[in-house]
Amino acid sequence: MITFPFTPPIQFLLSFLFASLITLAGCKSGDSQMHRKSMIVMDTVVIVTAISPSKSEADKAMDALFTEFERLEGLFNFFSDESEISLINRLAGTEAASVSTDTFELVKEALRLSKETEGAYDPTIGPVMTLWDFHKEIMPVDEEVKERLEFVNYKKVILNEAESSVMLVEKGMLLDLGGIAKGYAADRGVEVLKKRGIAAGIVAVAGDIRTFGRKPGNGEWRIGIRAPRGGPEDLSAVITMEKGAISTSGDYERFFLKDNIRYHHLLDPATGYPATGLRSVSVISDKGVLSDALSTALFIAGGKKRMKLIEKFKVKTFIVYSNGQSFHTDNLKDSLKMIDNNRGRKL
Amino acid sequence: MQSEFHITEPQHKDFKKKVLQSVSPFDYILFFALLFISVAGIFFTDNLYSGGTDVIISVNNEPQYKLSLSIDRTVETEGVIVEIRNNRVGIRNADCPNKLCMAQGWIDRGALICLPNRVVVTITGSEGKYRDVDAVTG
Repeated sequence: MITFPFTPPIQFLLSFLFASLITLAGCKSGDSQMHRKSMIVMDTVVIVTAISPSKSEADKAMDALFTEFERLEGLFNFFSDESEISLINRLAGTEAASVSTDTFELVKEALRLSKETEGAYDPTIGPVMTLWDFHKEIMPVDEEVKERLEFVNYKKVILNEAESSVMLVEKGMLLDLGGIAKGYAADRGVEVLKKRGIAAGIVAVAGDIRTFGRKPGNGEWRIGIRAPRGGPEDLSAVITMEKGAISTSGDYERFFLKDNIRYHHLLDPATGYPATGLRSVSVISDKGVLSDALSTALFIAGGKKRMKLIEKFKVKTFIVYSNGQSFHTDNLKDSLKMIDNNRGRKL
Repeated sequence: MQSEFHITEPQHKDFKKKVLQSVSPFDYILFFALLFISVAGIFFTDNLYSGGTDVIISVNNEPQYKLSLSIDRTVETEGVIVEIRNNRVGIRNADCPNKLCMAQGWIDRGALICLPNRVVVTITGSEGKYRDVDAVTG
């Protein structure tokens, strides 16, 4: 046994000093390796975190990511006449649109997930979505909704792999990849960063987040899930994860209140009206494209169908119901920490 | 079990006595200076980490804008012009009589408050409870 020549109080102070210096050294090295950049692109704020010993390498990788995102925005933007999605929509009912591999593959994946979710996620929701204006608080009349619902059907999209073309069968159909494109972009962003030698980081396309690698200090990433009725800084829960994707669909993102009813942007393709029963759904999976589309699908699907889909995809899921109660799947229990948020506000 | 490094009790006492006698007042000064620097360093580092990334502009306690601290822009609300520049935020102009909010200068954490207009500008991560999360979904 080694005994020290100092009295216990001095020993304690020395230990504290030593521990403090070690802590400081650890923090400093972690901080210096973490680089962050943000940009408004794809109609939202994208925040990228890259872990690298070299700031210039991290900056180059993040700039390459933003360039790629601008390219993707040019392909998928529903509101731009120049995008390939707009081309597909313009040619609806007349001819097939030849598109890039990116657009073709994303439409293909969107249709696959529509089928797998039995239409709970449907990228042909466009004709009904355009009737609503959540900013100006405009809701459509029932007749309009019923008329437009005839054009909402993912089964009426024809893909031709050999020609890389997409065709909407009926004139009046509109394809909108808004419910999947951000997750897809997050996946692509991770690919870009990895290709540029970044070993760990986060790509957050608004609430569609992809993480990879480990944080400096060998730690897992901590992702907060926003409290649906709190302020932007209030959280319902915190999830720790290494590599993976998390997306949240919530009734607080785009909405207006009328006669004490909340009208939000998560429209049920079966009715054309906002889905009811939940405040938010968060889905954790391997891919952003899956988490993004599935969070929408789970929000829209009813109780039994929702649980069936969760089991089918074996995804980690966190749900906040309309009454404020929450639910999480068993596979999430070790990585989920609930936040007791007394500041949450009701409707 | 005793190791070969064990110092027997009488020797240990003598050794301790000798060491304590040989410590000069300057050693103590150096020791406490180091201690102070290390403790101060912890708080300094903590402040560095708590520098937030989002600017929340609230009116009447209701969040109106959530903006990135790293994107330069100017927002006007309730007669208050909030400017984000170089990862800092300040109130460039306000139509209130005393303009105390403008006097608060440029901040990179904490909050700016314009009471007459009930406008509060907060940088999340510094005031929030959850500054240890890496990203937020939802």
